[in-house]
Amino acid sequence: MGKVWSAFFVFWAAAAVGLCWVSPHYGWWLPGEAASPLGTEIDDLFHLILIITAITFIGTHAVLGYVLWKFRTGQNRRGTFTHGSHNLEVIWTIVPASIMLFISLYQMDVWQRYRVKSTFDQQAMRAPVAEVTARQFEWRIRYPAPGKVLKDMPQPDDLYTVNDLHVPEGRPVVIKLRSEDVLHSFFLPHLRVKQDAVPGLVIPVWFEALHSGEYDLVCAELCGWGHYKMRGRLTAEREADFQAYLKKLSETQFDDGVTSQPAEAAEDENSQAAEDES
Amino acid sequence: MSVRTRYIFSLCTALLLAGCGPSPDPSFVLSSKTDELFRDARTPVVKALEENFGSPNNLVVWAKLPLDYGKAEPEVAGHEEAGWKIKHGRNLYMVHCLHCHGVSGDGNGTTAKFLEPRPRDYRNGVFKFTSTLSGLKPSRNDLKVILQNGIPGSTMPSFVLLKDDELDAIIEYVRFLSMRGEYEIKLVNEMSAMGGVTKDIERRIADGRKDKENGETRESILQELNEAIEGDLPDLQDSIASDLAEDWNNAESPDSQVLPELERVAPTAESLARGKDLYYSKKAKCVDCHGLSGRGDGALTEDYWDVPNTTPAQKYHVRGLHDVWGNPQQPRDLTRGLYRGGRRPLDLYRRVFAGIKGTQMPAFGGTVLNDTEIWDIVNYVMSLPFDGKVSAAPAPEEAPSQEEKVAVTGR
Amino acid sequence: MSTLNPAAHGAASHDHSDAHGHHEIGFVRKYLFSTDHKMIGIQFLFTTLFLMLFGGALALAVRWQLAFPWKEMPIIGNMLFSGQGGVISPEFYTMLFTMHATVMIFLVIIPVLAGAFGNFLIPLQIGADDMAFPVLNMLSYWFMWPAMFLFGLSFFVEGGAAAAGWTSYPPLSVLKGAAPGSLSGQTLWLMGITFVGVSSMMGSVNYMTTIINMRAPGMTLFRMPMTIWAMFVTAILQAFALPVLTAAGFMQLSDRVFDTTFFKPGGLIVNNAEATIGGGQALLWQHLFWFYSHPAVYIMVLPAMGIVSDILAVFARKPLFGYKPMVYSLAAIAGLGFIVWGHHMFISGMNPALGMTFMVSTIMIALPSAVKVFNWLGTLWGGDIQFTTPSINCIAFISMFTVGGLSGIFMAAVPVDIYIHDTYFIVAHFHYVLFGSTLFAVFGGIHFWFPKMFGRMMHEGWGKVHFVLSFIGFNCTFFPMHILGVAGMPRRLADPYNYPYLEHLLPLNQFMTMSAMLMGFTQLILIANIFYSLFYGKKVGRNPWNANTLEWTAPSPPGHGNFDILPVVYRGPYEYASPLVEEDYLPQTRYLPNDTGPASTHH
Repeated sequence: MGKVWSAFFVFWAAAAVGLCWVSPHYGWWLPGEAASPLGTEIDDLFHLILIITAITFIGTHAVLGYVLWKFRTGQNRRGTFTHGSHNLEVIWTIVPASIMLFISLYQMDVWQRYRVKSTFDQQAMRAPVAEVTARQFEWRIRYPAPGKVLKDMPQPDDLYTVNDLHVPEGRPVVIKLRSEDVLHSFFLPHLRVKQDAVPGLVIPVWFEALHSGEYDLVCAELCGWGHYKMRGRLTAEREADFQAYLKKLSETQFDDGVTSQPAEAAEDENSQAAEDES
Repeated sequence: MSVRTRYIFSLCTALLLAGCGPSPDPSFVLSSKTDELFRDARTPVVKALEENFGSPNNLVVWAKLPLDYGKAEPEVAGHEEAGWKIKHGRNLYMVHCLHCHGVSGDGNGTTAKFLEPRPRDYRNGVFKFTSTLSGLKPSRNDLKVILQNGIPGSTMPSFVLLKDDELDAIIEYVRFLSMRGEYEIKLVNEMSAMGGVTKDIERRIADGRKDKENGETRESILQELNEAIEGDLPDLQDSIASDLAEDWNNAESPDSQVLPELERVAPTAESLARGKDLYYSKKAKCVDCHGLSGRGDGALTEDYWDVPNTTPAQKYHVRGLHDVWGNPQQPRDLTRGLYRGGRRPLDLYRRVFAGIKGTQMPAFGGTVLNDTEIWDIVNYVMSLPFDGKVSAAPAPEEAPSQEEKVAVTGR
Repeated sequence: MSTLNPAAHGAASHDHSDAHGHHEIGFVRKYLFSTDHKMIGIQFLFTTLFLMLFGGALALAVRWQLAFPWKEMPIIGNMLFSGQGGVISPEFYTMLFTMHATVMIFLVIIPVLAGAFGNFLIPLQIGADDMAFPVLNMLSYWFMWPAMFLFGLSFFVEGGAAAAGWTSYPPLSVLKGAAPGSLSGQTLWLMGITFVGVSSMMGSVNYMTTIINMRAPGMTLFRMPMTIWAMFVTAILQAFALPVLTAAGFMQLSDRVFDTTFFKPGGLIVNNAEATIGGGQALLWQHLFWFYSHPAVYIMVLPAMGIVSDILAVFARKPLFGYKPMVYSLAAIAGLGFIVWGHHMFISGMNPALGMTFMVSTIMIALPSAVKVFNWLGTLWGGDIQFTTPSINCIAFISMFTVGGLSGIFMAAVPVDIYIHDTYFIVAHFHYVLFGSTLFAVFGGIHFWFPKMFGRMMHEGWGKVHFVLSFIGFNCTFFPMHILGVAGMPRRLADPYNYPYLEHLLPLNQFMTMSAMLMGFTQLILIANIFYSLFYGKKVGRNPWNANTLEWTAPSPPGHGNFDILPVVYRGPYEYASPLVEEDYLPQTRYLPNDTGPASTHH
């Protein structure tokens, strides 16, 4: 019976490793390559830790399987009468401690660049792209008028939209994250960005979208019954397209139903967001 | 197996099977007014609704109504089956809209009672934020705009990230629910006019008993009712449906759109001053509801108002204005810069011109105020979030000052 | 009974003229309001087992929604949502996971470890006749009932039960309009938490006093079994950490009921209400809450580690490897456990410098846990391993705890935590340590000490069936959660498939739900085994496992006062395969000619 149990535990460990091995093939893994430079570093760290933990996991279970097999009862043996080994204790304290210390120190730098404001791209900090206010249950976005700098107080020419955040690609951008009611969290899975939106605080969040594209924006802090409904989208586009978007937004937002050409009047009847759908 | 084991086994099986039962099938709820009808009048209404609209999982195609059902699945040719589009809309509605707006679109979903403001009850065919003239239905595009923008300041979220065809399907289903609801109300009203309300019948019976010789008897009252129903019902059903169809089709016509003739008056200090005067004037009387500082705390919010269509007139229990759904309705706090029906000048123009249907915000356009005056008011309103000093307007075209210029040189 | 006087307290002897005078006590005093630690332990055991089923049912409902979103839910759909075709509402979902966690943490895991096993074993394993404060002990059990009542009641009030997560972060939990559960449900929740907190604190005081003061002659601290060390350290953790939670709970209660603003910033607009007035900070709650709740997770695993150490030594038939390192590791985990709470808050918006400090302390706390795993492997190495239900459950503990501990390293690495915080990776981690580790140790402990509690053995075959099915069900449910987390699937979403990047995860989630159902229904086997064995299990004597510790010298079950002969301890608890005797075990109380009396320094 001992052999069966040994095989049982080894099998489970192998199945776990096997599942992790095949998961990327089914798409059950990271959602694609990281779409931001810091995201790439996060992925690298993740993989490093994965390797270290995989080795530990396999090693531990190999030992476990061996022990259960070799020392199963029924072989007319008596247990080895030992209370421990000082040397072993030292080894298996020092070695893991060094590995862990290495892991923690190795990534301080990434964390610092991610969160410490003094390391943020100063150009991006001076001119945030938008203020994103999370509320139950949507993302309210306020851009400054084209060519202007975002101010803390809403300005008469600010541009407002909802759930669809446009940013220029290829350079670091900063958004000012706020919350109107409860805790929310600004999560861009493809860019590996996450920051809680805290009521009472305005938090600058920086990120850089490497490529143009549409990325999911998810709320990652329970905010009520509609937590799952807070689906948003990050649209990263070339600078020129971004400026054109803002210009279009401005035209739509200050549309008086008359000023544009008659042929466009019907078009303008659609919402500002509908235009950006296409 | 032993008796003991058998006993344990059957107990376990019984417990497990206790969870099984027939699956509940959702059904449309009937309006409270329908329940006030006497059985003889009520049954035809329920029957008409079932025949012409079906139930959520068994929808009926009624060609009379201007709904885009989508073609029926090929497999069910020769059989009036709801088409793919209305079913698609229903499925999407059940996932995205059900828990607030309810199975029947009555604004009474499970979450609804915890929301402020309450979700819309579509069944009276009234939608607040539209591009159409006062008293008209919304166009499909109006509903789409609401879905895309949400209603800022309420829990109606933006569904801009759903695909276009998904939004279209949901809109058809919402129109379906609205038409069903309005059809029901109208039919019930006709039945009431024919004397079908239980209370009325009971009163007549009671009166009849007082005059034993010439008074009405229960049989005579019911006979009269049934004859009236039998005679008029088919025509009524048709005419109500035709009226509905006409109303909804009318909303799609460009003539129904509210469009200013004059482009927006420049939001200069003069315009703001004129707007302010109009705001406080006896002509527009904005201040009565929206208050002296625009916070929605005007004098009319202090009174106890009559509940409409009640005799003798009853009053609402809560102070202040109410909408046609009976919910307390606070006039908008204009200082917040949060506009539920859209923040474009065009949208605000429409609110002033055509009012907000179903609420106490009246229509001023074409009668009380002309275009210039409406634009002045709009300019003033759009300046209230900025202390009345400057109105929301696009940034001027000239190059911004150096300090403020964003270095958007990219890489 | 706070002094141990061997002459006066020979417990089961019939003609001691004692001050109690209660040879014949009624049903109520014996089974309901008992002050006997064994009965109280058994009361805790049965209550928590029942609540485990309830908490598990809530989890199955959560899993159902994730596998069949917006489809009809069995039983509950029919009962509560028949108007809309049996489909649950989104606010109901938030309530489900909140109460699942609340019930499992506060009403199952903590009470079963400290309340059931702690109570039953501490006096028996240290040679005392009862706890230091028996009446306090009884109260500690009965204070669970108001908590259960309040949590249960919260389901039926307007708005339903608390729905802000078991973490109960404000402002969601303090602003009444923010969630239906934040109407009255949250207030009842806070009151319930207070009751369980008081219950735990009573227990903690009792355990510390008993262990320090009431050990039998010869039972030095370093001759105590690991279970007792673990219970001792856990009791200290509870004493230091719980007051913070209770205070925070009162602050939140005050915010809700008396309109204070500890946690309410000003200017918030919830559900179209007037803007809030306040100057509080949402982050303050998080700090206070996690200051308790992080040690709480160690409260929920250390006793299990102690149990595993004991059981593994018994069934490996050799001494525990590295007894003192194991004790020091327990202390290190507990001590470090007080300085890592910020790792729950890396993304919260707190000062990033704290992120760095908490990262270092969190990574270091993996170390004593790793040392323990190696020592358990060392215990098995060279042994004569018997594969009984208790031992295989504890071997599973080693495996599951390794997974849980290793996944913790990802989360301790702050940049990686940016991505996996609040995803299913976290859910996988804590289920591995709480369910995969602790609960399997509890299963092992139940099978192991059942004969001592009731004088009968549990059915070994069904015990193994229960283990295998639970193990398979558990791993098939929770291992894929690591993968879901890596794929970026956030927690607490009623419909994750609303997001395009998560749509493809539905089949995996359905598989996990099926496994969860298997795992859930398998627990009925354990319940059946317990009840069956209570009446029809094979009767056994004092020491069916041939184990060393003191409880196995008492009758099965022990009578009032526990020991018929006052125990005197001559050695440590793990002298298996000792060369001094022919048998492969050597009880702590057995006198050998060379023993130099109770103060022996032998071990």
